[in-house]
Amino acid sequence: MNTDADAAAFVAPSETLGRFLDRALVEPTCTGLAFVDGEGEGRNQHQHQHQKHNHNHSRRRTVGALVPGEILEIVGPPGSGKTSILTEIASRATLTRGRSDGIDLGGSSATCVFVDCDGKFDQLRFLRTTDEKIADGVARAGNRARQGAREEIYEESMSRFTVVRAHAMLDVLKALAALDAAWGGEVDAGGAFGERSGEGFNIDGSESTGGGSESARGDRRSRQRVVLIDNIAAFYWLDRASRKDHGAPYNIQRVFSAAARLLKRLATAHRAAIVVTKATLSTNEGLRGGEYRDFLPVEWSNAVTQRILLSPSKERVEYGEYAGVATWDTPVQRRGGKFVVTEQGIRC
Amino acid sequence: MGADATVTASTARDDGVVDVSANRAIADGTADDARGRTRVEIERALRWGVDMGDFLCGCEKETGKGGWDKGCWGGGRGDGGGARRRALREACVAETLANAVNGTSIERGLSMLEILPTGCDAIDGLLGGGLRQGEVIEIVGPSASGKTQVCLSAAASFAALGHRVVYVDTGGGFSATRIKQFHRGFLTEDADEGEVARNLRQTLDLIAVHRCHDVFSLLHLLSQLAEEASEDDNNPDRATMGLLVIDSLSSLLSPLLTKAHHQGYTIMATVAATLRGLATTRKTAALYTNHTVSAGQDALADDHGSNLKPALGARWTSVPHRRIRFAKIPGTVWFSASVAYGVTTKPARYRIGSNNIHGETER
Repeated sequence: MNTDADAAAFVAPSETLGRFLDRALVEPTCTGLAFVDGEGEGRNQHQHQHQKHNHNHSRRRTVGALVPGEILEIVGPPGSGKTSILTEIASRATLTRGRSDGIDLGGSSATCVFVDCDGKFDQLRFLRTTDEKIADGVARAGNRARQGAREEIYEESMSRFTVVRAHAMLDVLKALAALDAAWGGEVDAGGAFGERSGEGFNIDGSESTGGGSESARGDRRSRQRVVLIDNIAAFYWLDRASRKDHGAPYNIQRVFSAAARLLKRLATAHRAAIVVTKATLSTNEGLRGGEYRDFLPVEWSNAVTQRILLSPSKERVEYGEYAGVATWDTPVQRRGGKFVVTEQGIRC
Repeated sequence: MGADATVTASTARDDGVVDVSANRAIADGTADDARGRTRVEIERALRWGVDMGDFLCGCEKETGKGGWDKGCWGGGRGDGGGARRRALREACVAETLANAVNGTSIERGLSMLEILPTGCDAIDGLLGGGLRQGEVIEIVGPSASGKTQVCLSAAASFAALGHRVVYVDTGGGFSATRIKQFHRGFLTEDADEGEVARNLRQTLDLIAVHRCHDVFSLLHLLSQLAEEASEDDNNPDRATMGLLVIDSLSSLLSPLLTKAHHQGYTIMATVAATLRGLATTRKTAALYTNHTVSAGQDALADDHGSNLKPALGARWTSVPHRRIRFAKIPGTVWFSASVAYGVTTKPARYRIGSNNIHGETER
């Protein structure tokens, strides 16, 4: 510190309070599922409670488990509704949050990337459930809704969503690395992954100025990102055959620890909320003596911060519907709940 | 020999011997491989692959045991890693974008996929309208429950509508006579005989039958079909591939699921992944059959009083998009069909006719 300039640089502030609050105050991503978002009497009332808490800047972590930075794992046997839950989360999170004409959709305007390992993502169902939610919101707004608002919201919400098909674990790792590069600004993805160029913060911390629609500028303060991976264990049996003692360069431990590392990076550096599903056979794993035993390598289990277990429910439902029960494993004190998968979406 | 010999294992000769002299020629640099790549190019591609793997998984010497905060590409490095790493990052982004579909293009992509009938309305109802391109459907049922008949009917239906069908026959159940009967059943009673004969010839031309007696020839066939994809899509004259039928897949796979085969599950997983990937990339519907085995004396009986379970066991449950279960209704000529996995609908029943499959949905 030889000069005045050095001294002045030393005491200069690193960031303004506004920037700090943008970084630190995180809003949970809305999923529309009661057992993830927390209790509430109905969807509308729940939204109001949600808004109230945020306005009061309550210190208590409020309802909403899907906070940016968390890695939530949803575990269940085949056919237990995992892909439907992810589709529901994608459909709800990409909806526009808080519009000026009073249409309340309960969305988060989140950029959503869905990595489809199983090939079970039903595009038609996704379109239908998103459309239903928008129609519902527009109908509730009544006369205040503008003509053509429905199409506008649909286009906007769809543009925030991307689905990536993965045919091997390597594709999953590449997709996560690509997100890391695109969201970090190192590689220009040209508007893919829902990012419009010129928006948000540059890597050196300075706020970049740029275009974007009005709603985008308003959302810049708390941009939400969601990464959904459908079935991280899709290639488990394939990759397990590749073993070090047989001379394979990559084995399952390395692959899963790389995935864990990349997800951790996306969660912390890019403030993304991550939801991962895992298909299991209910016979060979699950709760044993009260503790959850995982068949994936320990590096993966350590990276997972929250876990939900799904099982079928004995409730009788109509044809075309499926009833299930969600229980929280980590943290165990959260309330789980029942849900019913219907053609229109998920009803809790 | 020479220029058109290939290195890939998938084109090994039928007696299992790989053409060694061709390999040597490529290694010497005197010949190119099937895709016209020289030895130098192959080596470069391999080095790139290794670099990409290290980039994604982290170099072992840097990560060490459990130190997954370190890594070749860690964010802590100020310089961002140099040109090689930047190139790898850009390659990741480009490859991911090639597999990515944005929300706004989903609708357009869906509108190009067709739903085609199987030839029996009741079974179409169970499938949600018919066999959808890109979907994998499984039919499970005891022997003589009509599985092969439905496969033949679906093949005839797709071919009659102008799509190519690849029929993989493992048990000798394919019958061109039966295809002819189903085809006649799709057309009206008073159709002109000459027209019918012409249409039938076109239909039969579109069905390619492959006989596979072990899983390796099946995998070979599937990889060939995947490779043909790029040629076919650019060729407008060739009819699009609409349906892949495997009758029966379980007879190829279930011998592998014993304790003697330690690689059994891996091969099963490979077949599942290849089948699903093929259905998506070639936009074809895939239909395969699964037979049943006894579930043992302790297992509970299901609705029809039998205690049978699918031969491809619990691990295979989530491979298809939908699983339809066939069963004979004892004392009648009717069979019952219901959805065992996937979106449930009202069960149906059907019987095999002389030139069609007659079905009814349960009320």
